[in-house]
Amino acid sequence: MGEADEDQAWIEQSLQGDPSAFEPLVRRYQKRIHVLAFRMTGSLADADDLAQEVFVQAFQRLAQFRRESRFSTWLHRIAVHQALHWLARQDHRQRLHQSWTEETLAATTAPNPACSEVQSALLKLPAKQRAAIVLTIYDGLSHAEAAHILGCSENTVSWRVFMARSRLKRLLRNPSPRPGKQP
Amino acid sequence: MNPADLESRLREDLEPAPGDAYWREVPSRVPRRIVQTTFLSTQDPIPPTHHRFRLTTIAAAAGVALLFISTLMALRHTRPAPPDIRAMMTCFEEVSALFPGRLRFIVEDRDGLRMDLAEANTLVSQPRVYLEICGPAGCSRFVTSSGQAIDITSLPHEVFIDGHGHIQVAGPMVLWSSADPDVPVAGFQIKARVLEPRS
Repeated sequence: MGEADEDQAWIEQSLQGDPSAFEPLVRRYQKRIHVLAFRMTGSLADADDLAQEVFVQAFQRLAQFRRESRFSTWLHRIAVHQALHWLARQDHRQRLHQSWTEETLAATTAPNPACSEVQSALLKLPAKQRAAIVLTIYDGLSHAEAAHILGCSENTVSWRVFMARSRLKRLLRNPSPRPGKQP
Repeated sequence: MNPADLESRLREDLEPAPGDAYWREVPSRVPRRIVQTTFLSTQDPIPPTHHRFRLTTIAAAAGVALLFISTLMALRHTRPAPPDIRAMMTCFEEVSALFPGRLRFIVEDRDGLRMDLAEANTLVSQPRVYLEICGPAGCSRFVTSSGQAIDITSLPHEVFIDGHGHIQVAGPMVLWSSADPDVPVAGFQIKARVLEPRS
């Protein structure tokens, strides 16, 4: 039995209302979803939470899976949209917190010292450009597949990838000073 | 840096691995979480990391207010079953007075009565809205203000009154308007009304 057939069998069982039938699907796709969540959030703890929520959402929306695409593509679509939604909420929270103190603001926007230089550069990209890079570079998808997941045209993906690459080149050529490092 | 160099630089950057225990644990943790969030859920017993700060800071205040609400509700009902919008609105107003500018909503469901407070007193006073949301796992009743977000299946959904006076509920799971109240929404039945200010 191929992967797609196995997925389908587990989906059918899950649709009967048995959440434990979803377990093998989580086991199969958890690493890919976790990588995507980490690349989008830059935090291991947030990636843990986000990845879990992606699977919960997928289970709850399983009846909407039309089998027109692979389950992994459908799952990625949920993951990307959850990540973008999460980032929008984070942004909203940060804006609310701006009325607190300058120190609070500095603490929330300071680069995470645990992040690598590459991850720090990724986090400086606008969320949709970041998603385009994560899908095409880290997941190895074509622009057409990424477009399907992101719900936009292939041209839009190509444009986002182009803009993101240009910015990443600049950022990685001239990295900003890392906290704790002396010049 | 040419495109190939950039691509290999990005690919060579390895993401931190959470560890074997994490990968073993998650597949069984997800079904448990699914059961908890089948419908309107309470907070996680173990809250997500990014909520810890918020929960700690408001825990003491929430405890006092919950005690206050419970006492108030106990005085008003012997059983919580029959809908009593006015009593919920009274609760909402009195908790609002205790925490000016911080009360997002109060909700009553099978787990009892709870509230959700903002970290800071940044909320602007808006018309009050009552919502009753029913799904396969039961009903939840909310009182909130227009412009606030309530949690449906653990996801924030904005509740607001539009320019025609219709109540809108918008979020990742539900998109509903009181202008078309009978349109089924992802298995949920929703009733809503704007609450008149108390005299």
